[in-house]
Amino acid sequence: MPFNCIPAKDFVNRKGEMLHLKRLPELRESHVTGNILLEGAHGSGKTELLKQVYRSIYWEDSPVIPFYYAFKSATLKAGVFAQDYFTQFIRQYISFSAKEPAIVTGRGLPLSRSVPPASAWLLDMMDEFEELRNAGDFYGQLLAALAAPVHAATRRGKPVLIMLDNFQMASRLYEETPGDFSALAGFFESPMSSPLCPHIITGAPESALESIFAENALRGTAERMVLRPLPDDAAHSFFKSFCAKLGIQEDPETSVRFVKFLSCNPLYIKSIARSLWRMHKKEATQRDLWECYSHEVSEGEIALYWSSLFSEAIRNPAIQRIAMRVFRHLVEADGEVAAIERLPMILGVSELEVRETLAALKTAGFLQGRTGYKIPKDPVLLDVMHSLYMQDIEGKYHPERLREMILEKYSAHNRPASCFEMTLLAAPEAELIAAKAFEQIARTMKLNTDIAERIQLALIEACINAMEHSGGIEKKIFLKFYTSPSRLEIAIDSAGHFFDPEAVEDPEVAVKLTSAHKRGWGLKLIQSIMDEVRIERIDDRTRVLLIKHIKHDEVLHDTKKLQG
Amino acid sequence: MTPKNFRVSSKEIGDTAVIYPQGYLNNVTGESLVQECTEHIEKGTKKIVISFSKTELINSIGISMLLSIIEKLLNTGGELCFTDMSKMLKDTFEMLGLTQYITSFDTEAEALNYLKAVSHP
Repeated sequence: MPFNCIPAKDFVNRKGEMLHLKRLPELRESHVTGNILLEGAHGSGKTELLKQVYRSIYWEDSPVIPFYYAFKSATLKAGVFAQDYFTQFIRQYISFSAKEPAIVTGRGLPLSRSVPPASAWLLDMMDEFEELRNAGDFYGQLLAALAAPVHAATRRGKPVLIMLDNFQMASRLYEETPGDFSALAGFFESPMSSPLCPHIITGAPESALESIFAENALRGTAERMVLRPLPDDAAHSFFKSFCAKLGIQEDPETSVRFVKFLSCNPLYIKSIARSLWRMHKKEATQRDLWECYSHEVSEGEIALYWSSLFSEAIRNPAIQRIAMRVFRHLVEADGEVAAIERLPMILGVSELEVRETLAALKTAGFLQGRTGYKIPKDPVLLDVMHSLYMQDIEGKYHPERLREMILEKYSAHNRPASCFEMTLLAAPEAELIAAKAFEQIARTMKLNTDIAERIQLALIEACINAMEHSGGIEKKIFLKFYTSPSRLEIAIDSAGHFFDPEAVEDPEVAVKLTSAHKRGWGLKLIQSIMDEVRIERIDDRTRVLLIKHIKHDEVLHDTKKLQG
Repeated sequence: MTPKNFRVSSKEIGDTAVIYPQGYLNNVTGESLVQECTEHIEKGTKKIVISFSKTELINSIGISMLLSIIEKLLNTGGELCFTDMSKMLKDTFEMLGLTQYITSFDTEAEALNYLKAVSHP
């Protein structure tokens, strides 16, 4: 239901995306943009964003009619889907006109009696749909259901913003039995091309969504918009606000470290906060957090979320068991390609079974990679799958054992990280101040000269970039260095414009040599030095986050050899 | 030694110019370096050694200035050698692809020895 979302004030750091999506009808009308394919990792908050857009438009005196629809596996039979889609639209339309949310949920008057007198055309539409249903014309029903928002937009002279969630399921719409007709998603072409009905489409994983738009009539009808993870401080604010509502005290330093471990994923953060509350925790101490985490990855909401996606993707219990073993084996082999070739022999299953299992795991987002199969960099998913493996394959699952295993596994993570902060005024060579400060940090971390100099270069580049592009009045850049024995993280914040690193062209020395513009090496340098480079938008600031995992041979182990 | 400015110094050994960018090789030092090299090239020097023995730090703008020098020298059919680079500098130039246009040596003496044997019309 579109109203089932968190309070607007707790929905942090998505102002820019909200504004853009709400302006979509206007932008569509002026041909600035088309439909939006909203992408992002599982749990990154795509559904929440759609619901926030819906609620915001609903309560504003807006010239746009909002419509939210989430695909469900129970309503994928074409006739059932058409009925559900049509009814949902009519309910939401009437609810929006009357500003009466109860109509959306089906409470109150029967639908036909809720139709306002000025919208008698709605009754005609409902009668026509009923006739198609009685005639068993499911194509007609499907077309009528999908055309309903377009019809309403034309009658009212107001655009309808259509928000389709879990759209990856559209590829599974069927006529009589599952899998009998795979091109029904193509029926969305007509409403998606209506200028009065801009669509925001989301779902996961990206590969499943993109394949719908690549292979059928929908090709080229939507533009990608990527919902990036929440920045650390926004993720912490989100967690803090949840805890405050549930009467739980949290320690910022511990929480920040923990939400970072959760990859700042809103779904994980919410689940842990609720778990703390269910376990009657009054404080979110480090021990409490890991205790809740162990519970979440084995029996909690996070486990339920991933295991339902897993069962949805692989329905046959025998294949599910193979998939768990395949996944476990790939994790243990650290994604090594040769390990995939050895799977049939090691697991005692056919090559075909392995191939099909790998494909199903990839379609559901449990494996990644444009080509090949890569294990996602999501420790939470890995722990959920490990717990499933312990329960269903090893038969050795015990909550206490899992908790101990997790505490031991993340003991290094539990060691507090140091944090250093500094503010630089954007001035010539101010980056040298940051470089000098880093020299001392590198000494404290006992980094060897080579790696320290490289990171210094990456830092200099990031500072120059921030200073060159820092807009705003204050012309300052803000640096934070988080250090732990195995990890260095540098956050560089400025009022500069957000940019997509994927959109930056990779410079070629042969081209630059003959070009008048010889600059543009900064991002390439940074990316070649750091393990991870993230560009994040935090309200009115842009953050460049540099992450380096410190390897054993990058640290001086004999203190006599320390530089300086 | 010609102390034209505090960021770049140079000397001439036979038909070769040896140039020392000092401190932080950024836009300011980079421009001085380009100017210094240009003066030598315009005087007809075709062999240049850039010694990084006095260079403490570099940034991407400094690297783009080095590209300008490579371009100028390539256009005159000259030869450019880099010497005394830290491991970080060597790896960076290698990664960016600069090393295919220059010859690198550990020391200035090795570079001068090499250039002695190179003849330019």
